[in-house]
Amino acid sequence: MNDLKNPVRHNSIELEYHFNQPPHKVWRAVSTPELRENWLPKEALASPEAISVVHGEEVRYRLRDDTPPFLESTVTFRVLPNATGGTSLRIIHELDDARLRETNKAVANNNGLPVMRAA
Amino acid sequence: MIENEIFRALADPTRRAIFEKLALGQMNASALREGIEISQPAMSQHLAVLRSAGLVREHREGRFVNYEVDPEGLALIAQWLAKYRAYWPARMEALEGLLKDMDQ
Repeated sequence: MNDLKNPVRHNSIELEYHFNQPPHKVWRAVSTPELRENWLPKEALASPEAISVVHGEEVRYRLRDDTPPFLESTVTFRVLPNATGGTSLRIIHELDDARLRETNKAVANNNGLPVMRAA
Repeated sequence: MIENEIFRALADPTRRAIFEKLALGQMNASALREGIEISQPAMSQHLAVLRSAGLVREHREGRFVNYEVDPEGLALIAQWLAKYRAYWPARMEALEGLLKDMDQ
């Protein structure tokens, strides 16, 4: 496992991690609630249900801070095969709390992330 | 450190209530006091703390002063970024541990 890059946008975090395990295994770990609970407990989530799923490729969850003002955000996990049979896991975490979105044009305009594929 | 200031500002339940109220839209100090049982000087003091933490700012219209959630939200964003930059590496270590334990 290594953290390859850490470009930080104004209001989002993007990370990429590599695992030796194959994509289908990583996919199960990020998308199956009982497995996800082991490394991303539901207390961190606004809802334990994923907000969108592209099977085998991408899953998104809503997060809620556990401290005031309990900011909400969206995290996207993208599972991709890497060149050596392992998995590249991309984390795109956007702070898109409505209270900031409404008052902050800069934030709203900086959501310049790749357009999601339709499910 | 601004993160500590934010934490301190929002650790107080009254200030948290004020901040949550302002999150709905700007208002003046007397409108803010409705439903929050505190004196005017106490309200001013709470607003001063929220302002110095970068959470709230003043918005003057003529002789009226309204308060609003800092539209830049920079303090909140800075706090959020710092928290999750430390959070994800720890989560990824936990994920790696899980992957090693999984059969398939």
